[in-house]
Amino acid sequence: MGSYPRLQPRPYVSILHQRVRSSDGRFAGRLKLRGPFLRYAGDPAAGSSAPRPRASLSAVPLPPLSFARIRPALAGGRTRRLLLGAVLGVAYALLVIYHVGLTVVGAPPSTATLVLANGAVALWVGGAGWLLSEYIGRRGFNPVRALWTPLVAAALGLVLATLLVALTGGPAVIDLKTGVPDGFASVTQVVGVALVEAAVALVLLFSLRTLVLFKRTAVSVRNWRILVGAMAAASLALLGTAPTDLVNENFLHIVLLVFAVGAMVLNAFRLSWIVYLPFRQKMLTLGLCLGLIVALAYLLQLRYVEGGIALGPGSDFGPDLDLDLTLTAVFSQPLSQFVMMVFAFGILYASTAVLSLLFHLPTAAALQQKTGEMEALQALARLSGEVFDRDRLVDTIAGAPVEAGVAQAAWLALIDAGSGSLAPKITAALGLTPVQIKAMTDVERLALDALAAKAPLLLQQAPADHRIRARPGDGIGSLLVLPLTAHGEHLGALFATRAVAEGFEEDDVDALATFAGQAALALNNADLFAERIERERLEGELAIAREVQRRLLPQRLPQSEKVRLSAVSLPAEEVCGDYYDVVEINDACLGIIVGDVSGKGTSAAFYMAELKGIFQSASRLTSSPAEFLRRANEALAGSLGKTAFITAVYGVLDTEAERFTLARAGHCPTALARADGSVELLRAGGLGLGLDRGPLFAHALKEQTVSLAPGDTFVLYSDGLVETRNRAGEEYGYERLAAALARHHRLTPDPLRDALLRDLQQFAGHDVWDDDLTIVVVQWAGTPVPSSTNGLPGTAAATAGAG
Amino acid sequence: MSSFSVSFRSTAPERGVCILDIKGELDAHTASELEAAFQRCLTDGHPRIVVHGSDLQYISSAGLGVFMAYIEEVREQGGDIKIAALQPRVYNVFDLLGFPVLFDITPTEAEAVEKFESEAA
Repeated sequence: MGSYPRLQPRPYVSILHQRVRSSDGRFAGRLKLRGPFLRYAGDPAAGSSAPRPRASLSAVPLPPLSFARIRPALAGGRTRRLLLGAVLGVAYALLVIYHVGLTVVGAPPSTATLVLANGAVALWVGGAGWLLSEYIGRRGFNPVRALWTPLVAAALGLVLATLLVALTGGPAVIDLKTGVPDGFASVTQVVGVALVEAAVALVLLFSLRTLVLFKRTAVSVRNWRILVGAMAAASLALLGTAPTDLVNENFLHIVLLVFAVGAMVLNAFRLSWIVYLPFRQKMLTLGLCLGLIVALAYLLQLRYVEGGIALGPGSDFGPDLDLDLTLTAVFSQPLSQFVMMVFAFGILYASTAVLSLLFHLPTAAALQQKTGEMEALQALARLSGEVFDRDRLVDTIAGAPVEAGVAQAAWLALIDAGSGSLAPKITAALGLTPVQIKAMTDVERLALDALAAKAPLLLQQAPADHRIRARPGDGIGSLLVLPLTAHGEHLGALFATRAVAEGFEEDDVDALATFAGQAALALNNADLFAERIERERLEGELAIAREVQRRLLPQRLPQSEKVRLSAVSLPAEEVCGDYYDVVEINDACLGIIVGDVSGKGTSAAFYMAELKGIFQSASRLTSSPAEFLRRANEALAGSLGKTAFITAVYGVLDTEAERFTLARAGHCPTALARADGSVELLRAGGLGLGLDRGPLFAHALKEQTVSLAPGDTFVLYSDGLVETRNRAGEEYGYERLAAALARHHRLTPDPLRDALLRDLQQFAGHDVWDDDLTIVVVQWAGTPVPSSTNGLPGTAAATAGAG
Repeated sequence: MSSFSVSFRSTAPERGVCILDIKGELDAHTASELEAAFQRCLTDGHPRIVVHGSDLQYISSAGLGVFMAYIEEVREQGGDIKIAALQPRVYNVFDLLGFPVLFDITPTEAEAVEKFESEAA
């Protein structure tokens, strides 16, 4: 089902209309559901005048329906009703003819005919009732309508009957011996008044039904059916009774009548619809009930027969005749009994309703106010759940008790997690200013006491409490402190105050406590939401930094037949402080640099980017590594702070002169493996970049030149390689590196790089690195002679550093 | 979690040299302790500091940064930070970076103290 936001104690929908749609989307229609439903009101402040029975749900899926199947169903109802109406009209006409016939003949009918005629009347009433029930009570429950409909019907009926009698020349004349009307005027009155009374009775019956069956349970429905059944049975017991027969001589009828009266009493106390009526409606229905009683009583005793006794031609009757004839009885005794029973029930029910309304009136106002308060609190609680803006949320929460009418002033004191203090501070207030509040109450003490007690703290005589500095008359008579905790965490407290002492009832405390629980959750949610947004923002920033840093590393390494390169860089965290790069200084020279920024994270990445900038621009200016590093030191000295420094090793490979010149600014010594398997570490002197701005750096930096022989393999790396520890805490170290290099030096750069990595992984026993790890392999093949390696000669596998 | 400790020792008051015995691993987490120690020496008016490192097992770039952070101020106050008795492995880290160019790093504590005296003279 869709979401029904509020269930409020205003339940008056007995029919719910639901829009449905077939799952193939071709058909849509309305589903009508019957039963007592709680009303789904849109607005808590909406008046109670018009209930809104229509609640539409979108797209409740139905199986695909064929149009052919739908059509007859939709069309059936109306046709059926029309048909029935026609049948009833015809039946009535026949009954009229029958009575006219009787009048003409002037003799009473035989018992068989009587029974038949009464039977026909019974069926006619049944059919009419069925038809009427489709119209009455269809449009949703409304007690006012349920009462003025029969009232109006009764009044109308009265008017019509009076008119009819008046227009046809006065009260009817019935032959008392035969029970047959005397003349056409009388017959007209008979059939007319009977029809009117039957209609009024049916309208009354079905209207009362909506009231009695307001709470539709199996028991209440069964009781109603018993009532209708008993009334019908008691009436039908008179099937063979002629208008002139004495009704109270029919024993069966008496028994059933008593039974029916019992059923009436059983149903007369189904008055639960009264409780929820607002005051005005209670008054209105009270008036309507009184009116109904009067109208029905009048109808009951009405005899359009002069003196209450029918006059026949030439008869002279005294007052001791106990024949009490109504026109309806002349039409059909069972009908008359039925009508009278229905009227009697109407009077009974209206009477009990009047009494109940009277008793409920004094509390109506209070109930309404309470309901209003609860609704307002619920609405505010829901609003709190939807608001994630913390400022708006605290304002809503603090204002809620006042807006709901439960308190005259309210404020919210919250613990600021960031400040480190555990004392709650006033965050929002309504009705009093924070200054006034602080002057009058010890907010911190009260909040902490409430939190410690884990329960609402109620001070009914607030000024008497030592935590309150207010005097009586300052506006704080009673104070309620509600602790706010979510998931076991203390958030603060909500305060509500009334000017009078003993101002909070148990209901108020309960309602506010519930509200406080929801408010705490809403606050918690808002905080979590804010945290989440912050985290995502940070992650977004880191992702950008990582992407930027990844692109700063070379996407592609230059390869040639003489020199082959391979590299890998594995960052420890999201962002890497290691840097390597290769630049073609000119046709002959290749510059290779590996750098390591001290520290990790985003600031290291920024320094690295700066170094790349310097490298890309300045490296082409000189083919002397030391000269380049000196310039780099000058350039970087400004931006690196006192404690940050960068180590770097920079080598220039001259392919024509066939030599490799290196300078080492505080970096790890480059490893060199010769074709014969010997390994040495090239460790010329040099200071880290940024450690000295002046001449010390220049003076300390030394260049080292190596003459190249085919098979010479240089490995430039960062300290992440040698400093990786295994589980025992040992470092990989230079010796192991040299040994591994010696083992694998015959491999071409890519496999060699991978072999070194594998060796390191095997040593460490894991592949999570503490520090950024970078390896660059530079292999000199010399003149293009197929070398004794197991790599493919001349193929250039473009290798980008793995970021 | 790395463990690190700094303890104070001083030569006879008239020599005015403050000796810091550092022990354990000096990295980003523990650097603040050494910083606090340097700071205390400065506020106490003892700018002549010898860091005795025979129990120092490991130093990271953050630890090295601590020395760089205070050396200027210490020298301005007329003192110096000298490092003594480093383990070979740890000394290697300092040496690779070129620290010996910036700081006096001596094999024994006595040599470091002597250097102070010869400077004073």
